[in-house]
Amino acid sequence: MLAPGAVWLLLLFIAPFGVVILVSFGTVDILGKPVFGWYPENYQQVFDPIFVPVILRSVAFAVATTLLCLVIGYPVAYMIARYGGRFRNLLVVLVILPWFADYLVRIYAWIVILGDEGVVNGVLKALGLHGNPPVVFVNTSFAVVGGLVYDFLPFMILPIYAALERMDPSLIEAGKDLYGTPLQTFRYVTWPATIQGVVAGAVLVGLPAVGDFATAQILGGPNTYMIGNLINDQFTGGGYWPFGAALTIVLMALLSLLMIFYLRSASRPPEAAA
Amino acid sequence: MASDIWTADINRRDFLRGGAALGLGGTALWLAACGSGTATTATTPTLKYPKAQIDGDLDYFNWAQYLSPDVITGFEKQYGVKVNQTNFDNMQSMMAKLNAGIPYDLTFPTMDFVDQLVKANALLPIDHTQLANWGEIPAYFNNPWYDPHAYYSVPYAIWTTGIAWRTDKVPDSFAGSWNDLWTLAPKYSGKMFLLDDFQEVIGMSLLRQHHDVNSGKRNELDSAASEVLKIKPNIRQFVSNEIPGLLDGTAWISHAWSGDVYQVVSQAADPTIYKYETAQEGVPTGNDTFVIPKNAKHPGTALKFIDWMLAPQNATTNVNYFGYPQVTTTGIAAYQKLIAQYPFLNLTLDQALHGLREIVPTGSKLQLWNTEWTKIKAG
Repeated sequence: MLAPGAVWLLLLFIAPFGVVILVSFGTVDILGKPVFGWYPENYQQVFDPIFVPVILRSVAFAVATTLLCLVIGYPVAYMIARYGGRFRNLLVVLVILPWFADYLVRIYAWIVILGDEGVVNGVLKALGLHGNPPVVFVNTSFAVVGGLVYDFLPFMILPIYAALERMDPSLIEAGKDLYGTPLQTFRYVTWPATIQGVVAGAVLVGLPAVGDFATAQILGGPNTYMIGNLINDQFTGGGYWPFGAALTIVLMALLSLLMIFYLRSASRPPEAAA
Repeated sequence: MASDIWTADINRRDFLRGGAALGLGGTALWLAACGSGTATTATTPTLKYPKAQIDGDLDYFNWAQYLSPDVITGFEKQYGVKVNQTNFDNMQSMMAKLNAGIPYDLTFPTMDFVDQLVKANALLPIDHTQLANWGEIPAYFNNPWYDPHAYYSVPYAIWTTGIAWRTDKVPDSFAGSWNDLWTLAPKYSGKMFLLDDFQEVIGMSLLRQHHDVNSGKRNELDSAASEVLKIKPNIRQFVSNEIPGLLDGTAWISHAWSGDVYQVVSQAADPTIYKYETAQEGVPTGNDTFVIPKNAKHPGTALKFIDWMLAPQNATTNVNYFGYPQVTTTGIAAYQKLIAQYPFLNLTLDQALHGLREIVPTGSKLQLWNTEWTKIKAG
């Protein structure tokens, strides 16, 4: 029974990943084509201090994205789960509907909205704001984080929604019966019951956000260079493939550590609250 | 890149993104200036010369909208074949496809990539006697630095790299120097673009400090990178396509490619507000080429197509379409006519031959350049 899955895993993940590992220890020929070899110094370069700001920036953007997704996504999931009624499934479909359009198209759409000559600046100008444009939105860190939030928001909403749906609503009533204020009920009943969904959402949003490059490339400016851009430039911007491969491996190793940490904590028996 | 969505001809503007603004300098100049590799030694081709006769449909691999569709249709009608077009958006992705062994019949590498492809014996030789219109090619290209004896390539178009600006927003006088970007940066902070191209940016900064545009010296490269970092806070964006920004007012001053500036003036509501200058410290200049990769399935048709492109009538049609000087006697004349009202876009063959070539760094030098570029992007 395991065989078909194992074949796919081998063909589509392990084999390509093996090639990346081989390239990461290699060098290049005159045409820039990777050549296998033993050049561990490719990894030494990864830890060059000049990359520290890139890594810190990527992590900061990912953390900000995750927190914003949580702040926006939790109430949305809560409203759907608690008050969605018979429209629940429709509302969930609406959450993921934009994902039927291509990722790049959706990022570009933000330029139409927030660009110097975009819709928002047009409105601001009409309202009498000065400046040309009134507000510079695109090419800033805010635009990149905003774009990332927009990219990954459903990955936060869906697991939280699932956790809320699993939760017995009578627990909330019980909290209120025990004279809990709405805030206390949320703090001591709802939140602990859905924490697993929140953690799953944070992993699903945070990890891909660290490695994202297209958002920063399109909505970003000179000060939004992320580790994904650095890797992308190695492969498509005239860079050095083995270094790009080494960066990829190191990034994957770090993200895998976080993933293992999450899986171990998720596999622990649920706490008393649930 | 941000505004690519606004227009259809993305890739022509992304032109050179792969980092290949080179020049056709005389061989002596090249030897003097060159940091990477030495002049290619001319080895007589070992692969078989194709004959210029139709041997199937043409698998054509080029930048998008970088060659007149009318000329392509004309070729299809004349010879009763189809031209199957595929596009790339930078030199690296073109090279990756060739390296993967995909059998294209005709592609368009820039000169430094021709140099690499020749050294790697990855191209089919071209017999000039098979080309009825070879006489249209200027004499220099019988023996260009990147392809001794022109065994493997036919030149296509030339360009320069310089600074473009909007005179309505920036009334300041320009000094014809790369230093203009530094002197104007504080005043026009947030209104300047640099090209998202490591050779162009580092090369420009090296030239400003009177160093070799292809320097391999760490101290020179370090200083070039830290000088760029000084104006980075004033840069709105690194772009692979400066055209939309110059058109829509996002950029008032931009590091720019000459062909792109022609695109700007030809699309602008008021073309008179634009200007372009090249720098006295050195003008990065380059050309690209027609080549037939060695895996080509229909090299005969490819050769026929090259000859078709060199024909005077077709070269004229093509130049009027894409706005670059095509390197044939007729193509250059057609370009002079096309840009007559924009004297700042004037580009003669002689200028091109005496410009500076940016040569894509390889090996350890590539790593060095890459590190400096990362410092600029990450800093």
